[in-house]
Amino acid sequence: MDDTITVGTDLFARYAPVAVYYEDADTVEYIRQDVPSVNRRVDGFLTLVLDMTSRKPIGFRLKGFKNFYLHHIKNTEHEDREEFLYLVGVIEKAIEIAGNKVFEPEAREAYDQACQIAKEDNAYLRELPDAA
Amino acid sequence: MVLLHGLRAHLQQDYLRGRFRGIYERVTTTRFMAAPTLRVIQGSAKSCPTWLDFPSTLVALSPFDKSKPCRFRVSREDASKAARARRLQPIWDIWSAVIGEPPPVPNVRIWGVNVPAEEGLTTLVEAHACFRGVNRALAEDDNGDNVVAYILKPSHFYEHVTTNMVCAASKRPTPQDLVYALHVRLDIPCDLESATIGVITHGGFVRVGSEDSLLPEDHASRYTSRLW
Repeated sequence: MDDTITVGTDLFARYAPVAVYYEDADTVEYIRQDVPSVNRRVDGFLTLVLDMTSRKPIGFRLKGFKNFYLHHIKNTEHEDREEFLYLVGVIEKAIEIAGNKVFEPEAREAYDQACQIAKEDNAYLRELPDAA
Repeated sequence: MVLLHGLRAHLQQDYLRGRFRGIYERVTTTRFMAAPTLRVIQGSAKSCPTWLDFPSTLVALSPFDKSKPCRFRVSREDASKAARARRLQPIWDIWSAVIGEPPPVPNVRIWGVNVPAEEGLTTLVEAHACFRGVNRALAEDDNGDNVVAYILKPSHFYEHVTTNMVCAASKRPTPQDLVYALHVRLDIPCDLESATIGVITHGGFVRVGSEDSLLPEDHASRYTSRLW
């Protein structure tokens, strides 16, 4: 990712999908296209992002990520953990944790859609929350 | 032998003097010069683009008393991060639904489809509903109890366009079944007498419910309580 934002930043530059952790929102976002979108809340952890026009999923948000990472992922990682955190693993972990609860079919489908996007795009997070 | 020894000593002295001259001069001069002090220089070396230069605070109706105004700080961190990833649509959304101005990019006010440029946009003070608690963890806040959500319904918003070289923002109508939910993290403790009482963090369009076309769907489970 080019880290510079200046007055001359190209407003017409093409967006390349990348997973980003937004600290203020405490959310990891992975979006395929930078287009107007609608958030479809699935539960307290997952929001599917839909294209505003077609209403088809174009990405997802993993909410309360810092909390989730510290409680469920960081402790299970080895010392020689990889530099990147693959999002498909995070979503699968969330499904595993919720496993005992009965997923409503609609929610289950949403998790599968997010998982599919993460898997197809091999989406990974490079920058972990600060305290992680 | 003595000559050789003297020559070697001379060379060594010269070498050392040359090699350590810098340190020597620094040691001797610092005795007479004031030590440099650290200064905070406001701003960055490169100018921030105008479209990322949100107002530092925004007026809203108080979450606790709709008849009173309050102010929130506007976080620029997440917007900057999005901009670095070349993701500008959420920034255009904030200009359209929260600040009430078109994103300040070249030609935005004169390009045909945008005129009149501000019509149909909303400002935060025009929010028609306010909820508290997002029923999910938000950083150190386990239940998101200190988050309030303002609901707005702009009839239009700006879309980030990359295919039109005249203007990077194009106004379009907001679909009828959508409202904009803006999240604000309240200060802890929340002192209502202070100049600002929280920070605007993020927002987005959400679908409305079938029972009320002005409120987000599932608002009863999405938020802990409705403030007004």
